[in-house]
Amino acid sequence: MKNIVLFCAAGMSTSLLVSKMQAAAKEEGYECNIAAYSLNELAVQGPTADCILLGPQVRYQQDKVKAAFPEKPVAVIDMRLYGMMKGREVLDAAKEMMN
Amino acid sequence: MMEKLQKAMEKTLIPVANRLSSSKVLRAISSGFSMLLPVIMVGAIASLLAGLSIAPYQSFITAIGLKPLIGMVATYTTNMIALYAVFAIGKSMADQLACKDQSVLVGLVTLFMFLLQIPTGIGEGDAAVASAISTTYFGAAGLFTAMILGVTVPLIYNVFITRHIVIKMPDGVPPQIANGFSAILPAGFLTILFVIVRQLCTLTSFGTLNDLIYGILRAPLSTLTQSPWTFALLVLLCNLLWFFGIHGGMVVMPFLSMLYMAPAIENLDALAAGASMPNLLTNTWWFTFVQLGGSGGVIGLAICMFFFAKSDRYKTLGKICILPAMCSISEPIVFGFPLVLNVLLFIPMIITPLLSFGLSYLLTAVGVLPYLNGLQLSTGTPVLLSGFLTGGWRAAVWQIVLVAMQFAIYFPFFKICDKQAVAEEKETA
Repeated sequence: MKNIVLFCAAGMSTSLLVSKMQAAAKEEGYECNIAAYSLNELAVQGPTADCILLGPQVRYQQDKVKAAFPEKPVAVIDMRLYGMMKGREVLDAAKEMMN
Repeated sequence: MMEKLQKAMEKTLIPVANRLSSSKVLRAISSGFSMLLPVIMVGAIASLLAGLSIAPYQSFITAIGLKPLIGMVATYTTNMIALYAVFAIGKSMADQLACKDQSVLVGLVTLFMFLLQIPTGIGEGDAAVASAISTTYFGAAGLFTAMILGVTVPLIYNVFITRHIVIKMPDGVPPQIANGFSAILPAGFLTILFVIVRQLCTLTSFGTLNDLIYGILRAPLSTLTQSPWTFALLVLLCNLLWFFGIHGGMVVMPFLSMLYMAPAIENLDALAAGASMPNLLTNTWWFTFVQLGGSGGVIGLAICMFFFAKSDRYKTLGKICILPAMCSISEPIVFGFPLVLNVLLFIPMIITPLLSFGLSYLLTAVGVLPYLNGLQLSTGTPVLLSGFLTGGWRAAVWQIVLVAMQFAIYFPFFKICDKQAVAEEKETA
């Protein structure tokens, strides 16, 4: 099962997006783990991730995350999709990244 | 033009934000403080319960003997916060250094160095008690020493680890035991160093390291923190960063805790003791009055959208963002509206929190609003509740006024955006 991990500053607003993504995944019957964490937990939660998504507010940390996990797909979530909490679109983007 | 500006900002602001948020010192202090949250929260609630100024309640808890028990909790938490902080900061600092495997040990050594600076024995002459320790610097007054030691002790300790100046155990000795032994040299060196520091301090007119640090820093620091300009600058910086889509809170928060945590704890102590609170500005202000609804002060804007949007886009966003905004989570609006790099919304986004701060400051200074009690609320505490808990009903009512003001500031700007969105939706339909 794929493990999609989202990081932002505190993991709070991003957990909102995660619930929308989980709903979208359930609807289309796509089995996966989706979770949001604070960037402080990068070292703990990063290694098990199949795909790392960053909230747009921490996009300046992208290089650091990429350097920490060079073999994993890392991307910053599109700002508008994030703000409008478009769970399905973000999930699609994540699936794309893991292909 | 906007793109040029954005490019320029990405070149200048992003590296600065990056450097600040990856600064080991700042991270050690802020993650050390966040480690303290359970202790601070429990202590704050106890202070609140002990200090609640409702006469029948006070006589009730006094009559049944509960008051000293509640007060005791505050005594051992907020009144001794520096003790917890020095360990937590020392450990957090070590977590980022080569000695991270031994971070708990380093935290303990840091605590030891802190205690070394506090002389035993209190009182003088016949009233002297040799076996007592004064707890003065266990509280908020010791926080600055805690921060300084919490950063320097692990750095010194780390030199021993990186240079391999440690007692090596033969292979096969369990790492737990080997770690303990390898800590002996750095701990021994640090002990000698800090005994010397302690003795040197007795030669000064201050007497102890805490008196020295507190004595030197207190006046300039309290001038700095209690100046509204310092606070306003942090607010401005935070929202400016958010305008460029960077998490301003992450960058500003360490400074906020460093400067405004101690004043908040002092207020809590005073509250528990039933004394009047000493500090007007504390970090409690951030969520209670200034960033009400998160960055940009956006509860007003959420209300604009929720009730007055004509376009589908803002109607949808209004539904998504109104509850998070009530809990000071503004990302849906910041990115969804968007406020990021939205020139039109720049003015309200910057002005609203500053104006909220300025007016709250003035009203508190003249005594219309109460001093906030310094309760450390977690992000996500809903508006009104946050006001009520930190400043009673007057603060809660004032939050309503502030939201109304946010609404008034954002409304004209919102109308323009909404009209544009309606036009766009007609075009694409």
